Amino acid sequence: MSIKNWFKWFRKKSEHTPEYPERLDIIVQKLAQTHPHEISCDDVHMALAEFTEMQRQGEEVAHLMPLVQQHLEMCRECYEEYESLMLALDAEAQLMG
Amino acid sequence: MDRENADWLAGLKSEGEQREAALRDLREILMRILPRALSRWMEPGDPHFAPFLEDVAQETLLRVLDRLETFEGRSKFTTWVYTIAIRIALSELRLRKWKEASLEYLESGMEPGSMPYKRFTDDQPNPESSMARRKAVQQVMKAIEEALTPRQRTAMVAVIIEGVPLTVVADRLDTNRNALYKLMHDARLKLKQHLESEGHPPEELLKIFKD
Repeated sequence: MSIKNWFKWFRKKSEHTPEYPERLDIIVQKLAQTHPHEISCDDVHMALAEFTEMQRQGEEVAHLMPLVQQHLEMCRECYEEYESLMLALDAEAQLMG
Repeated sequence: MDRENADWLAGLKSEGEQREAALRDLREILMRILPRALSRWMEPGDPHFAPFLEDVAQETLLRVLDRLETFEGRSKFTTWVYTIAIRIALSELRLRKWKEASLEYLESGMEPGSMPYKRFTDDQPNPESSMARRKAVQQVMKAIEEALTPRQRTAMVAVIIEGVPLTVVADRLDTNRNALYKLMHDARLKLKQHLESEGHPPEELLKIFKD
């Protein structure tokens, strides 16, 4: 698909989905949060257990592990995995005391 | 079943019954914890739920054994295992959810060309859009056209505008999530620098969008 066709598609989609152009806001938001140095999803995966446990212990993880925190703000999938891990640890505390 | 990290490692690294017992215990823990961890993604009443959990638990145990040497002891062993199980489960659920979705622009790619951004922005369905906002939209669209490669543009559109998960886009583009995040990061940096060089830093554009 050429970029010209893509913009036709985007425009057509915008007509049916009024909030669609608003999603450009998300791009700009992401650009404002972009740092020259960001870690990868695999790096976050490796650190997520430690990060989440520290957070549950009341540690200031945003200060102690800022790159993990920043990635979680940028990457929806890693954030979803973090949320599920929180639920897992809630369940562990409840079910296995 | 209440094991310390060292007990888990010793059990899983041993042979025979000791190893089997550790695997049984770990599997039992996963089968108790995962339904809650995945509760936002699947209903326990879903007929696919139980076999899905079995598959995830099995795949997790294999991956844990394969990566045992990479566990650094910075967390509880079971927490580390949950991260592996959750990534396996959510990756599979994302692929299933988007399996039938038509994402033809991902497969066909995009070629650079003339972008009708002026017409697009003039035709916005919201007549109340301010002139400043319309100009901001034009600047972002123009930067997307000028600064990004077709592959970067495709990925950015799919992930940020269309909301397609990285796992799904990576699968369609025949790459992996890590490489795709890197591609997206490079694209964001290029766009940000391009907008800054044109005198439109994203922070300023954001204020206009929020007005």
